[in-house]
Amino acid sequence: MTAHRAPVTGVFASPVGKRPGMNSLQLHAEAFDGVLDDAGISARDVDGLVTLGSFSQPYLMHAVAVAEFLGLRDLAYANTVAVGGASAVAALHRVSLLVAAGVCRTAVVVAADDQLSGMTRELALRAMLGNRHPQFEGPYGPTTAAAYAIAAARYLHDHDLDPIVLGEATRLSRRMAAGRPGAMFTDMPSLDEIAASKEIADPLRMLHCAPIADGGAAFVISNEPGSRPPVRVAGAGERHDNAHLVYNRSLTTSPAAAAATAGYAEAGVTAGDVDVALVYDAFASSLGSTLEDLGLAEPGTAFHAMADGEFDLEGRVPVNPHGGLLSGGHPGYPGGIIHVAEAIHQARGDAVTQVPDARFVLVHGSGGIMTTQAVAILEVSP
Amino acid sequence: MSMLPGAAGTPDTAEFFAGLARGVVVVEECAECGVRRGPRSHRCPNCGSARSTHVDTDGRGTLASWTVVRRAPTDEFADAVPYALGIVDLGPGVRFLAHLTWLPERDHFDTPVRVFGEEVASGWRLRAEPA
Repeated sequence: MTAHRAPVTGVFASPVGKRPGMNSLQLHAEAFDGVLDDAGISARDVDGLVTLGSFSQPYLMHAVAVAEFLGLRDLAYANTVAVGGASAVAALHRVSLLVAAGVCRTAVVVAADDQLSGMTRELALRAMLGNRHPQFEGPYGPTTAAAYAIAAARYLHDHDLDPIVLGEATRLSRRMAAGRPGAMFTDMPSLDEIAASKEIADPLRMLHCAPIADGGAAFVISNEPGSRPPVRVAGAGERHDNAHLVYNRSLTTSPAAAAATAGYAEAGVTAGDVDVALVYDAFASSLGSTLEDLGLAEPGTAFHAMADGEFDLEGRVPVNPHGGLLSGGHPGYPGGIIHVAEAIHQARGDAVTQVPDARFVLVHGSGGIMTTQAVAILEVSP
Repeated sequence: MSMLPGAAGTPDTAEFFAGLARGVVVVEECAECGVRRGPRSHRCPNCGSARSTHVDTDGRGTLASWTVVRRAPTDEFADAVPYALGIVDLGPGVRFLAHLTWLPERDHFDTPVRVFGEEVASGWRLRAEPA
């Protein structure tokens, strides 16, 4: 009997940041070439392609359009996952199942975009406004940051926290990014400097928001052995509640808890077994509340735990050793795949800043206003 | 009249926008479990029933949270910043986003507010004021 999930057999993350002269399709190609090389396979081996979409080149049949640009034909499977920032982890979860089921033999999940260089700020923000409800939100001009700010304000109020604590997430991210060549930000602003950075939407300031970037990544899921140690998807789960803030059941907790519970149960682990966590961090505020939803901190304590170093490389459970989106940059649709790429490297033991003896690696993605959630637990195959 | 954008409603939300024109805030109430909801959904998220009635309310609720937008998302909001957007709860599970008539202070969580419709060139905007 074969395992009910196929393993990850290759990974590649392209440089994230400002990549002028490379459009979305070219960035897809760069990540695709990189992942073929890492996995030691040829393009002809690929019979499944999964993409996450693009703001700058939004093809209606996105996965097939990317496939035709890459020169792939005869695909047994092509799909674009559309659950926002949860999409990359959702793709990991779904594709590991469908490859094991024989829908295709070797699938590449690839995501890339040039949101920084390929779009003006006005166009990028207008594209993101498309994520607001057209009647009940859009007319009021809420940026993505404003919607997250509304959730953050209530979180801080309920836990009696001063907004200055949000800067702890930015500082954690910067400490991690300091060890990563190419991260967009490696400076170390003080809490006061973060709290005095440009006002966006109270309580969020510029340095609480992941900077828009270009970049992408890809990974391979296959039952065919490659040149790298296969990484097992030990467990995974998704939970999706709603797309728009006005439908949120809660402003302070998310379905990440239920998604994690499903992932932990399948993997036969608990939150306490997680050795390193890759947690979606488009905003400083959501990183804190999500760590609590995932069971990696008690409710209301995540920002204090960051200050105490619990999520540093030497801490209780290192979070985002690559610096995350907050320091590494956020390319939009591909944002979540950068966390997945880092999780695969951490599980294989070949990350740039490797957490020693990491066995169980948690990777999390979040979309909507923290209302689409996916979690996976990775482990190098014994 | 404000030049800010509004919404005119679509066939699935016609009752809500007709309500704003009558000076009321229409919410949906499940005919089976009685749980209310705000923006339209075809079935009750609580019990799954497709049977519901539309109920007129006076728009009175509490301010669950808000933000003051300091940086305009697009040019059409450039003259409006700073503006406050709040989530108003008209009861459990009944939640609307509204453009607040004032910039709240930090102790305004859970304070009583009233939601009402404001007619603009392209339809209606939901506003909320202290009540």
